Amino acid sequence: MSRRTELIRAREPAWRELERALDRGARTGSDWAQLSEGYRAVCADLARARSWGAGEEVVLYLESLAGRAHGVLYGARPRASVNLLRLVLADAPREIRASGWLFWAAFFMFYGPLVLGTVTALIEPTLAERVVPVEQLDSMLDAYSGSEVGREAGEDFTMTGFYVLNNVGIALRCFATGALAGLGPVFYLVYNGLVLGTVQGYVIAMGAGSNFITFVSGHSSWELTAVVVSGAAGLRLGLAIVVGQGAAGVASRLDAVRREGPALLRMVAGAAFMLFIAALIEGLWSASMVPAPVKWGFGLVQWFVVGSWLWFGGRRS
Amino acid sequence: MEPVDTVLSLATPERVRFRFRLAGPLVRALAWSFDLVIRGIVLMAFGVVAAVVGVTGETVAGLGAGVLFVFIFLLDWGYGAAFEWATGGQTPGKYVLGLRVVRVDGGRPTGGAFILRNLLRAADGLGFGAVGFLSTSLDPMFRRLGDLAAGTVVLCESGSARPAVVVLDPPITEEERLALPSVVAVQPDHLQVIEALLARRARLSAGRLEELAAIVAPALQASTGVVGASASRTVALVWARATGRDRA
Repeated sequence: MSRRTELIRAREPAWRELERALDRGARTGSDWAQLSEGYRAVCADLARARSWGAGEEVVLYLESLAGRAHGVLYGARPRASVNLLRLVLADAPREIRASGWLFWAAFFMFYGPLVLGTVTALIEPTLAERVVPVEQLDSMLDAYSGSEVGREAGEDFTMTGFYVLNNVGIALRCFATGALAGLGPVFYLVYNGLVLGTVQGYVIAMGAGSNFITFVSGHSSWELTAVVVSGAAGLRLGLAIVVGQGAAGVASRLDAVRREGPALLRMVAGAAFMLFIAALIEGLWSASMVPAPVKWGFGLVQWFVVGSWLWFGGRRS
Repeated sequence: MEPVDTVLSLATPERVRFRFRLAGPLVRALAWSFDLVIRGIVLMAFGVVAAVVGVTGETVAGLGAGVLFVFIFLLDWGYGAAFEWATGGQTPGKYVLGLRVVRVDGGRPTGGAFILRNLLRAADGLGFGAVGFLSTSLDPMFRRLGDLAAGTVVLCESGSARPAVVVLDPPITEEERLALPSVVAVQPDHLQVIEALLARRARLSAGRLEELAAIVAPALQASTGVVGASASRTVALVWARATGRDRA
């Protein structure tokens, strides 16, 4: 009998058993015990197969089986629970504060062009048409120049869903493209700031400012801050790639990015949370029939809420 | 010396070494396409349901459209991470093609790593996936930007099926047994090569098996005196006699 045959005859049932255990996944203590025992036995089989010359095919199989078991035994625990509430209310704002000057860099990259666009369009509305296509400007103007702002309930829900898809998507893209040496967020921040500012200035210059401000007052605090935060996260990712220096000090580029990973995710979670709230407000409140002064007051309160969340969230007093 | 190959070699604390086969950009693109089709089908089904339910009233229709938008968002951004997290590294597309996401050290990635590598799809997907394709093509471990950031690699698990015992098929005939010399001596490493060939028999066409067997058959015939009906039969008979499997 060849050694290959001997090995397969003797050990195949155990290999089959380990395969099944891996497919099932480990949950209880005895699962883990069985898995670790199976893993060690397969490692011994692998050593035997190599020294006996049982053939490349057997060795390849055992390597893949042992590799899989190793991955499960030494990998991350599958069901590590995440405290969503703590993540959003404490960890996210703490991480945003910790990103320090990058937050302010993103802040000015966004609000600089926004103010510039607004002022330019206010002073010289024809210049706005050079930044944003005139059809788009007119359709925005149409949307805000009506005398009433109310919507059907069904439309409210549709728009809420659309804002989630569109706005959260933009923020996530703004962060993710930070992987391109931080260039993505720079583009998204400046471009979105400029377009928003231009539209805003144009709409106000054309006399629909009151409706516009009434509409955006409720959700702008959440939405704009979220764009800045996702941009800051993207810049932080880009910085780790370019400089190779994370919050933890000098490291190789790859290590720096990997070390930044959890922190970046916390920031993105914060941005997504803000945008989710913004979508709820924008869809259900901003276009409602509530009198304008109430909406302004509500909007002002929201700025304070966002500010306090950023400033106090997760602080141990 | 290790030959240059698309293989990731790893040594564990138990001093066991194994090799992982890395998945290249093309097979990964294929898995991605498969997932895309699945997502499309699910989305269409959901859209049809939303449309049918929407007939009952305007508010319901609006609500359905809103939920549909949220659903598109979740599919776009959550599909990969959710499946990989739930299965330990496989989306349906990866499962079909036998791929798996693992940490660079072979371990199961954390939930955060799964989320991060899938978020960064937005960067890898730029230019119709050109960024990701460039990254996977340049990196020796075929990692796209998302993998680099999350510390993951994609492995190919297929092609390492559970090995089966080699049997003489068809069984030896009385005639063949009588024709066999009483002692057949083959060097152990030669026997290994022969056995590896016979083990692969099921996955080779008859013509290819014959072709491969013809490479070694003349030398074996000369050294052992075994003569079979064909080159592959000669090789099989040599193996059977040398390992004692002809008496089974």
